[in-house]
Amino acid sequence: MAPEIRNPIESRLGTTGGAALIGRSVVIKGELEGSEDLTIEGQVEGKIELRDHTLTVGENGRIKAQVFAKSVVILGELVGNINASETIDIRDKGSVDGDLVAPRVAIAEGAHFRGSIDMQRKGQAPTKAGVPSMAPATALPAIAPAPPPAPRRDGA
Amino acid sequence: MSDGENDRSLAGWWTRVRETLQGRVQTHIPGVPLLEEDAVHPSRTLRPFLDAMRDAHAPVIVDFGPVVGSNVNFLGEQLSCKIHVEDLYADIDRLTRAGQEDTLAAFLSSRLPYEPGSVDGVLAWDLFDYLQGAEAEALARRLVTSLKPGGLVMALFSTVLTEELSFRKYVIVDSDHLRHRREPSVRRAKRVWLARDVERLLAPFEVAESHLLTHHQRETLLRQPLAGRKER
Repeated sequence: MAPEIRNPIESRLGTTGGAALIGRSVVIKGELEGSEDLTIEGQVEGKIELRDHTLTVGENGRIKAQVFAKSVVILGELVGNINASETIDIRDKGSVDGDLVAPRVAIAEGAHFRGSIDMQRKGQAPTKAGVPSMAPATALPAIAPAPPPAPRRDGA
Repeated sequence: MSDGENDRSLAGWWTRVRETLQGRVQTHIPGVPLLEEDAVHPSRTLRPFLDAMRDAHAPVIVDFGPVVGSNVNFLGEQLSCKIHVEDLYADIDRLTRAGQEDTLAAFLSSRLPYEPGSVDGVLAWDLFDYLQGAEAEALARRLVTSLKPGGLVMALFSTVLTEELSFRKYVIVDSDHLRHRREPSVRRAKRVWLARDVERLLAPFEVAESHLLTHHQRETLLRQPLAGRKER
């Protein structure tokens, strides 16, 4: 699907520090694919694929899309799932509602996030049959040194 | 099961002093006064929770609290897990703010939309302190359904009821310590859960560990029975 660019007169497409830039007034609906780093300050709905590159959602960026990239940095808003082969970095004013898959995820204090974060390493060998192991309650070793008898605070 | 004033023991005191001297426990941020709003407290159930999750392959963990970046990093590095950040505190606050507290039980009944028996561990923190009656029961039912056999719930219960309008955000300092950060809210804690009430609420979970700590909290680790889950 070809991207639909609204209000082309106000569109600002360019580069910033070596990365392509989608300016604040640009609205894109559809699939966005690239082979260079991209910064989005406008609005994108659909799907974004930058498999070997970095996507930066700028402070003014508003994204509703599935994202596939090497690394993703979010300073604006993103609704959708992100799959990154290296890192996802949500900065302090960034907001993400969706599921994240990446080996490394950084979420700054003050950032908004709701969803799941999958940091499972590929090829990791299972250790056991998928059941958390824990000895029965009666067989658990004491973690702290046994305290002296103390009065209980409630009716426990 | 250990249940008592662990931290008042001489051994507990000496451990804290030794760890502080060795710099393992950050009790004070330079330049920032140590306030009750932001204090580091020992945790007795986090380490066994982590140990159990480490034994599960690619564990699925549900966090009832708001997202804390350092917790995500810690859990990701330690467990290589999948974390679901639910932030139920925000939902409670939102419904309270909107005057819709009467819908909270129904709301919680439909939360945690996970496959039955698909969750390895739940960090419930002190969420139950902010729920009463039917609300807590609704959430407990979802927990019982969602947790795998052998799965664990780490829950904290205050032993004192305060009038403060605040939640606590729990930041993992290390496997044995949590930083408690107070966050403003519009809903205050609703009740003090006694140990027997917790067991009743979360049956058929078994209490694997329970510790009464000096910072007025009971830490409890509950486990889904391994053999055949009972229907509630």
